[in-house]
Amino acid sequence: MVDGTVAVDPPASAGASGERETTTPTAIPYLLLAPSLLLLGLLFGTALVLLLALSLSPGAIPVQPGSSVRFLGNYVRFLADTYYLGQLAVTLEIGLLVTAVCALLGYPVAYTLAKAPPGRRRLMMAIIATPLLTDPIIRAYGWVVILGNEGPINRLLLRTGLVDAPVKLMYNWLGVVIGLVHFLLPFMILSIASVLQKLDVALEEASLNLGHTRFGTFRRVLLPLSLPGVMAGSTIVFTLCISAFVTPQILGGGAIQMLPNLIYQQIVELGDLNFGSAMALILLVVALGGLLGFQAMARRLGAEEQPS
Amino acid sequence: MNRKGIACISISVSCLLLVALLAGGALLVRPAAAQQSFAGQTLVITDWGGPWGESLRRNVAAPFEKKYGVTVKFDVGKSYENLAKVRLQRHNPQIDILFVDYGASQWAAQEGLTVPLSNYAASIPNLADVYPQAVAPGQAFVATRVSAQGIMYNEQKIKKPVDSWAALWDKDFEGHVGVTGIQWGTGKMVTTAAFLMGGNEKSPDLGFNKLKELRKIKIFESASQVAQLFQQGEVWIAPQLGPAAYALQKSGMPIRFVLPKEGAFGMFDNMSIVKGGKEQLAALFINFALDPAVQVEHAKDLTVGPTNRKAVLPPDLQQKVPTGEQIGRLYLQDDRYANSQLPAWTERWNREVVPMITK
Repeated sequence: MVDGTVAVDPPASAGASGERETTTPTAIPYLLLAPSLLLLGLLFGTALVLLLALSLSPGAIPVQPGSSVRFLGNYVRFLADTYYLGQLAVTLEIGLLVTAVCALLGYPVAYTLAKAPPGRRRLMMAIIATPLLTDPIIRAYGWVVILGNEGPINRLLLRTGLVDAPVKLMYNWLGVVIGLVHFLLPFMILSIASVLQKLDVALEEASLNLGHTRFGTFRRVLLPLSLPGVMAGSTIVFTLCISAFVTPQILGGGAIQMLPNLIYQQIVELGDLNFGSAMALILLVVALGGLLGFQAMARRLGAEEQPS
Repeated sequence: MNRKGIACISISVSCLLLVALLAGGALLVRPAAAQQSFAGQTLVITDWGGPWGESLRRNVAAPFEKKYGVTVKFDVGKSYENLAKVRLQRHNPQIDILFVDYGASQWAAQEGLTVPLSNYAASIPNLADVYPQAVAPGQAFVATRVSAQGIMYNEQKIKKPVDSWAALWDKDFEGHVGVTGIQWGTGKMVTTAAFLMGGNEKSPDLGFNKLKELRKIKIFESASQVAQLFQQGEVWIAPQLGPAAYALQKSGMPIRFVLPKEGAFGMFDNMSIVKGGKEQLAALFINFALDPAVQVEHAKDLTVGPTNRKAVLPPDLQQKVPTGEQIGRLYLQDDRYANSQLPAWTERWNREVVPMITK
């Protein structure tokens, strides 16, 4: 609002406004994209092909040798087993929970950030980004100290007589969620703030002038317009969350085994590259599914809320 | 043209001078011809890090660097992580010595990732003085130190005497017991539980059934992780290696370390020569690590047992670490068998044990 952004159009959530902005078709954008695409294609593509090839060979524990599913044995072993499906469900549940908590906690911060004068905004951004500057292991062990049975939180609860015995704040799903929210919140805040910043303050003022309450303004004007930011943030948070490894390892205390931990176990501890690769590809497909899901949701919500 | 010529000549002359100077310097510094050839090389060895790594650096790597004019680099990780690195680099080895537990060493040898020590017998004369239990069949690898895995407990929190693995199942300590993850020592926790039922690693069913009786357990994967759990008062009693327990004791914690009556595990830390690495230099390092004087210093520093029978420890240390015939009294798990069972055990551990005991 202060730095001269004059984006009156809501961001292209409806799809129609995007077409108006397209520039004349030239080859330049593609040329500019080419180096990074080539690099990504080569590295990521090769890795993916290798992963696929590995996943099609039998692993350490073959499923029914000689059966018709010979090449897909590793996938059958995963998908036909309620244990692995259960761990996949745990991974997705934690992913969705962390995403929701990040969105709820991150939105107010993003709003404050977007409304702050530039100087203070820069300071706030720096503070918000600090979790990303710390090593994940240090960050997780920091929480171990805080959440422990003899940590400050439990000591306070015990001293004030609110509880008789220490509350179990970690070595369960709660500790994992706390650690992951701490790590991923900055992504959500910055995604939402970048969209909120570009919104014309006049829209908000008009809504208030025309009789909407503050909540109504948020509900009918701000939220729909900032939804692309929320969805972009959710996509990043969700995918990073379900592929997190260190935080669940340390704060789960062995009690929470998310899919990345099981992949690590197969590949590193057991040297079973084949089953590990199959699990990694299943996780990739699930992450892509989540990505598409969030986009579809954004499109639906955007269409519903679009003032006609 | 003329100028260029002069420049060329002066550059060549200074290059020649520099080479002569370096060669002369090298000759002066390193008189022995055999050692000269290694000067400037880098040897990479895997290690566990923490107090283990620091002590290996001080007592073995640093004097070795000085003697041979080489640089020793550590690649830090848990045994199976380091095995995974060597496995993935099999076509382009970056690691010269695999220094890991028995299970991982065994696996590496079986997969042909390492070469037998006998290929470099002339470079490892100290091998002749090593306890037979410390040398793998076929001289596939050799242990440079041995420690006992027993029970570590907080004597301020636990007043009654502890002399059995059954203490981990004691209801009085429930909520404050730690156990090792399944990969630790290739399934040692299963064997531990089986001991109490009169079995061992060959009867895993007994072990798994006994494990399932545990509740409110913290599972840890590394010695540093359990040290932290003790420091924070989360865990009062857990299986542990002697050196890690004594390190914690040295730091001022009220720690006791006991060898349970059903049997304490002998845990060997083994060095293997990685195939295709700097094999000759690796052999010299292994010989150096087996040197009696080097082993005594390392043992004093880390509270760990030497494997060279000529390494004589001071009496106070002899009581804390396995030496001599004591090594024979430790339980040596059949890690070759355990390795073959680990994938299946991991499955059972994940689905039968973890959900029950962390409840």
